Amino acid sequence: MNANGRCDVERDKQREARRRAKGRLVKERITKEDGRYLIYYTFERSAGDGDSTGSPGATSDTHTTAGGRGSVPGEEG
Amino acid sequence: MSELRWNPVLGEWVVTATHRQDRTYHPPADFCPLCPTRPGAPPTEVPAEDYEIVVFENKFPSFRRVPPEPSVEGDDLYEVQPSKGICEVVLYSANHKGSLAMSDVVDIARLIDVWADRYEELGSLDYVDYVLIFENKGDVIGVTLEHPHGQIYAFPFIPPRPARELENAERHWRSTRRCLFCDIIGRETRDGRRIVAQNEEFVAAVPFFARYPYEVHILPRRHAPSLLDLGDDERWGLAEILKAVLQKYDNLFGFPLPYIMVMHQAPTDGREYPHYHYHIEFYPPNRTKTKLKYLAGCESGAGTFINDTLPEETAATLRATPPCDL
Repeated sequence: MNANGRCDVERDKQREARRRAKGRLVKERITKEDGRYLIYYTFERSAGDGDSTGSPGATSDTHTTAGGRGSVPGEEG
Repeated sequence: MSELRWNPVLGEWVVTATHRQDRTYHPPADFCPLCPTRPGAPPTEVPAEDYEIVVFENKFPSFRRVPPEPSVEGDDLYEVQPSKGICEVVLYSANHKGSLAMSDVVDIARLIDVWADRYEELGSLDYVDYVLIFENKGDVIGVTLEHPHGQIYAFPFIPPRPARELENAERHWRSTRRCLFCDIIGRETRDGRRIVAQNEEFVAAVPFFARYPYEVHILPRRHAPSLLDLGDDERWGLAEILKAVLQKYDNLFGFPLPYIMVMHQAPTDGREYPHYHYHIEFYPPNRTKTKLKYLAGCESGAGTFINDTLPEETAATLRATPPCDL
């Protein structure tokens, strides 16, 4: 039992399922027209979860350059 | 104009960033610059029709990769440095009406992986000594865009508050050979009065020395200086307890509670910090449902906080606020 009195086995099974659901982190980096970078983070689900393949915990990183977009507004900070 | 100006009286840097006066301020309700760019609609910051999590360089940064020349010359008394660093915006979700509290645990776990990736990448830059991950939430905090997002400042120096923590943690380490934060976790879990929530990996508590009535710190039970030192189970445990604390905040007064969330991790200046312990700090400004805590004369002028509440009582209130079971 854990600190809250719940069954560890049940909790571990639930966590394992959720870890699989989280998927593999994939980065795609682009450069905007004004020179700032932007990174898309996506999470590829494993084959067992019915999505694309990938090993949990690994990170891939691709780099592309954006083009054809107009000026962009700013953000607070 | 942007530069670092040294305050020789307090021994700390001040960042000037005059261009930030022109940053986007409460844009029209039908146009959010942080939403995906919809077909036929004006472009936003994100040139895509959908996204999971996006990180980009702030258009109005306090630090820049290629900083401008300072507007004034420095000298022996008034040192001036270029504001070299990086400021990023982290978009948690494409859902404009979402929030971290409303996110599924799996989505928060993904965000934690992104935070860890940013800490590692930015921290590896030779001019970045400290990576501060934070979120400002709510109008009263000064947030001008409601789309769920946080920020990251990659500092060219270790800022004063983490520096004071590091100094005291190192002093404690040298005198006891123990981690200061591990000792605090031990004290809090034995005492129990200030615990807000806990799971196998993390403890959330109103600190004994809370400055804000509903201030909460979240710490890993295991000694870990940064997010990179947390394993998969610990990151999941962090996602669970983060969601629980955020839900408690939103249930506390019946509205989304404004807060400042900051993440304190080991500096990235190339030194080792075995005595430091990763943690998250929340500073909600509300002291009641309708009253705010202001940083007035004593806090702003003397640096001493007056807390109008007892941490043991506010912790009990948060503990009894749903969700009560992790």
